[in-house]
Amino acid sequence: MQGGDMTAATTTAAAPATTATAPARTPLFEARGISKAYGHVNALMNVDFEVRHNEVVGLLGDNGAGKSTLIKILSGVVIPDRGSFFRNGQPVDISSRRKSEQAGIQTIYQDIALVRSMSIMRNIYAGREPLGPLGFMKMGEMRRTAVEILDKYVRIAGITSPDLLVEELSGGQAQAVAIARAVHFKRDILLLDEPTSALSVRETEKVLAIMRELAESGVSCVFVTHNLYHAFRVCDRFTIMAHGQNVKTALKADTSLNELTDIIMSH
Amino acid sequence: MVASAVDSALRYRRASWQSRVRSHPAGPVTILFVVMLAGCIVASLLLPEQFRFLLPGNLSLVLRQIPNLGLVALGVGILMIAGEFDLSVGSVFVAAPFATAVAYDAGVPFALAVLIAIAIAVVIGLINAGITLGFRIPSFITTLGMLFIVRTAAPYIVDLYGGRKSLPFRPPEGFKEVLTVDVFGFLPAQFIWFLLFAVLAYLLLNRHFLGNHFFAAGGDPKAAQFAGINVNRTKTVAFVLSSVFATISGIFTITRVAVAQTNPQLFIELYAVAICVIGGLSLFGGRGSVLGIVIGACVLQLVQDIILLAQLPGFYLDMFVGLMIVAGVVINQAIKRKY
Repeated sequence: MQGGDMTAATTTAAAPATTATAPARTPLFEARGISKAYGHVNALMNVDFEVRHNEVVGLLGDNGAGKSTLIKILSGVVIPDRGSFFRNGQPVDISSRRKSEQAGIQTIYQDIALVRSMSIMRNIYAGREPLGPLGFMKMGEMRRTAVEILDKYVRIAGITSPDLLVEELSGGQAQAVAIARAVHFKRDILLLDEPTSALSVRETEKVLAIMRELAESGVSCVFVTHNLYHAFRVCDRFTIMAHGQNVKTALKADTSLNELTDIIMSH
Repeated sequence: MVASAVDSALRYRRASWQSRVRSHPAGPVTILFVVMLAGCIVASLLLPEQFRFLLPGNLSLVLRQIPNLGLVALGVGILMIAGEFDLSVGSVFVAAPFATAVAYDAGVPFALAVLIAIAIAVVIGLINAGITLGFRIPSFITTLGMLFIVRTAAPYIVDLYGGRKSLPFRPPEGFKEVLTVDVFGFLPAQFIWFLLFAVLAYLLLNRHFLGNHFFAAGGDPKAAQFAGINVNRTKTVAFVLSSVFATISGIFTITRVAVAQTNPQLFIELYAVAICVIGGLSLFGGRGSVLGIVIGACVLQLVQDIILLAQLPGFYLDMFVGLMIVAGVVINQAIKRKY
């Protein structure tokens, strides 16, 4: 694998994009030697993948490349046959969704991020309600914090109240709310699975901007996308997968859009 | 990125009351109810001899009958919000209270006799949930089966032990009075109890974490699961509540009529679902309100009263219910398409 090369290259060139990152800092999260087979089909073969502090890393590849399997493994939904995981250099267990969340990882799927028929406030706290006596929710605290979350992380025009139903929001606004919820609950690695695929141009811009801002404020993002233009605009680093393997990892400064396209097309 | 907090209070506010009324699931039924009520009052004032709607006796009768179906609908509605149906309430409404009457008749202390009925309701709710969620089959089918099983099992068990299928029910005087007295001479206590249970259901749905989970599990089970909600456990609680509400309604009814029997009250389960749909609850889960259920129950009873006062054939009620269910689903679908 290219793990060793990747580490060396990244530490030298990531600095201009992420000024807060110290050189040679231990990666925020590492997956080493991940393999997963479904019957005779090898979905992942000895894949290394890492997420560094304060970065947006693009996870690229064609359909069937293994991106989804890797994301499911990192989310704790699928357990790999082999491999190990480290957070800040320390081994971590992400063998369930809850454990993955405890390791600071949150996956945001476009379709199932939020319950559309519920309000923003209720969505933010679904499953994590602050409770008072007899299981009653602390509504005042929920409202105050919901406003704080929207103001701090989202601040998108059109969201005028935490009482708005999610179905009243645009796709970009809903994505932003899902991201805000994850960040508020102390996740510092967001796995964004095709977050821009169904968004308008303007909304895509907003989500890309949010990713950049998050990275600079200490929340690293893994951006899974088929859209290389979007990836190239927002990512600090790229991991390209093909046929269940990590075929290329490169810093933005060391590659080009054409090269990324060629690599994907050639596999 | 971090904005100043100064203007956040201005930027994020409660939705305006107009917008809340417009988007409230009970909006259409509230308008319908107000129009119908106004029509009844006007008709009664114009034709006092022919249409005696405003007579205290008539109003008292209407208020006395609303809790019957209304209480069942509260439980069914909570379960519908959680994304499931319960048709077995029609049998539970009869069988569980009958067990109370049998036990009390046999000398069991009254409180314990009531608890027996609640326990039966809980067991039936758990079985409904277990089969539906365990085998992933539509709750409509599970509870339809349970409707017939309980409906036939109750008289069978009574026969087996040589019991009577109809028992006089004379609960302790204090209990009966609390449930059946007319407050201020015209307001039936049962209606007040119904409103109290409605307030409890409101608090459960809107202020309790379980309510949040009911809405999430019904609105989008995958997203709810993803948010860390145990969807099956949440739905199980809703199944149990549905059975318990039907039992409470049944106990209210046998107390009022002073007789418990195993004969089924036909279509009570369908009327309960109809009340929920009329009240704006979605057949697909995740949407609805207690206000809608309460007003839906009032609308149904009001229609029944109009039919009686206008001396129209009884089947008009079923026709109205049928029309309202279809209209309710059409409105629901329109809302879904809008988003």
